[in-house]
Amino acid sequence: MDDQFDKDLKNHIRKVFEKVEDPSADEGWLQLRKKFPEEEAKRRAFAWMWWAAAAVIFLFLGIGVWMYSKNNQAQKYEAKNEKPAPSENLVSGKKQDTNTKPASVHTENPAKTNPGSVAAAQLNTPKIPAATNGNKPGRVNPLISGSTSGNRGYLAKTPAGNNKAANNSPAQQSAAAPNVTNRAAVTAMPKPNQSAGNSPGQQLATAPNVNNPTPAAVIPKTNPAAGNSPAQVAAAGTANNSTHATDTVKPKQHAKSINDMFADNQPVNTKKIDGNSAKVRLGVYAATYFNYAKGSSNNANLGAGVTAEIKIAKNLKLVTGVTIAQNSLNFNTAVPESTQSSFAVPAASNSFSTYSLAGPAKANVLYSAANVASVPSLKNYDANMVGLDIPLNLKYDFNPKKYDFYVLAGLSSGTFINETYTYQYNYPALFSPSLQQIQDETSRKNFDGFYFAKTLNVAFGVGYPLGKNQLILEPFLKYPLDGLGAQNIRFGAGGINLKFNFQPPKK
Amino acid sequence: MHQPRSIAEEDIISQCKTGSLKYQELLYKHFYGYAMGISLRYSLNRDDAMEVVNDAFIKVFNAINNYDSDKPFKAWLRTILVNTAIDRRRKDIKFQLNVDLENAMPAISASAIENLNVQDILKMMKELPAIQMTIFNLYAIDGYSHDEIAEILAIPASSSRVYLSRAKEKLRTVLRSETERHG
Repeated sequence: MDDQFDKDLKNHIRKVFEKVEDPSADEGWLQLRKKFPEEEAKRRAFAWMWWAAAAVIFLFLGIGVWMYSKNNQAQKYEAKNEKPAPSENLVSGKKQDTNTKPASVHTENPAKTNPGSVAAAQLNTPKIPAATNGNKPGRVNPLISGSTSGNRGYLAKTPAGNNKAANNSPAQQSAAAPNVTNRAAVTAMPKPNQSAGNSPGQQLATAPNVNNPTPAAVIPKTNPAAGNSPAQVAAAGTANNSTHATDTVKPKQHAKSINDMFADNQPVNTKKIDGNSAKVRLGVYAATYFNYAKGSSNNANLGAGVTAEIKIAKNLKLVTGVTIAQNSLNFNTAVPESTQSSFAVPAASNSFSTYSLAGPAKANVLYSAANVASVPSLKNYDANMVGLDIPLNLKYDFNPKKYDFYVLAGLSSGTFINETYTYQYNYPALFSPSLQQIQDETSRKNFDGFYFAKTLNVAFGVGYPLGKNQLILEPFLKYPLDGLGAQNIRFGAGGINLKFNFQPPKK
Repeated sequence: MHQPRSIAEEDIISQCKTGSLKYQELLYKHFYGYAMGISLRYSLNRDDAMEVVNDAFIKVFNAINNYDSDKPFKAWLRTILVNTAIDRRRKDIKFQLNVDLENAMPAISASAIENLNVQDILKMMKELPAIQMTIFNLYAIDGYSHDEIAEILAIPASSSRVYLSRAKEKLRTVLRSETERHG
């Protein structure tokens, strides 16, 4: 019986409520319109800002990639033009080591080595004919030991093998001495299978009895290079290491001293240092952040700006610029203390009583319970501010030459282009809660004063090189030192900057 | 399967997808009665119901591009309305979770059902605690299962059954007493 009753009731309710005849559709639509277009406009504005920020980021990335590729092309072009140059750098370059390696491997297996080819490489070197001719088996050539010793100094990377060669007795120094361990001479061996006219003495240099346990040594001992300067010896060694048997050392190389060679390398380094140590660097950035204030919900906002970094010391820079940023705060539960006075005025003008938060305590006592019931209460308080922020920060770079990691701190000043404050009051009816009225009050200000050093900025950043430019991620915090804006609200922001620093064009 | 809509209704919906305010108004007014019929059952009063309807329509307008036109619009609107109404009253529902039914119940008079109008039914429903009213509406009128209700209200399905049972019992009681009062 109950089931039947339930079923009947259910069906009847469905039927009755299928379409309720309610004449309030027009009224309902008007109420909806109060919220709907406004919310949509806000939503669109917010979406627009996101799209704008995304576009700015992509633009920066595009510029960065373009400039990076442009730099790469320029470098390739330079490299092509300077093709012969690498032989000059071989003295201290890695290339030299790699060339030496195969030779060393061969010396470990003397039996397999073509003795003739070993000496041939030395003979093929036009720089050292005197040495090859001058050195006779068993003969001591003081200059050889002198030059070998000299090599020790600048060939810092040369392992023990070279030193041993330098310390060998004159007889050992001579490449022609059989049954002698001449590491220096052997390690100078170029590629096998090179053929040339070998003198007997030279062939002896790589006689099967040669014991060379350490494949380490590099060029130096081009033993025959007696009388040559260390640089010449080194150059000769490099030439010997060349993979082409027909390679000859260009006269230009002979003329170069070690200092010259280092000097040749310097411009490249200087260029890099110059790039990093530009006196002024400009940048643009987009910021995504949350505004915070006591009693307010945290709202996501966007900003964008330009910066200029002025170098004042090796690791220290002065950073300034200008930022346009939106700040929005929404107080649902509490009104910021600073704004209570301004909030009380409209409330009082619209009711019979003074708003309890702002008015004197006695005022509340004077009103009856009925009056108190009709006191307007704040339902919502919104602040929207578009500000111009001018920071003055000090940036400390931990190691500007190697990487860009820094901390930054300073103060911000600025003004607000536009400020909108919206108060929403609830006017309860005395006897029927359904008759409540909600009223909005909005106040607007434009460029209402300039605040000076009222926000503390703290940030750190990590930069990624894009050619000569940099892409920087910079988490930051803005801490309010005092109230800001027409309503003197104390609010801050925390978020992340995506920054693109670029090198100003050279004049 | 749903009954084919009138062309006008489809046109209104497709125009709403373009963001036309005029058609949004048409849609709103076209479904207002239907929406109020649902909203009233979940709300405390007419104003509350209207706010639920408006909030639901704002959601509809914002998400109408995601609406699958192969499915009945009314069902989609109903889902949004019910969810909006429940979200709005979720606090009440949670607060009154432990409110128990008073025992008591006079005799029943089923014939009185046919004479009930919207106001009578709403009056009866207001006698129910929020949780019972919501579950009764969800299960008995809007066709949700206990498992679905459990998920929506974050309560065990068994509790949903208990509250439904109590709601029905209470409604019977109220109806009996009303019948007795009016002869």
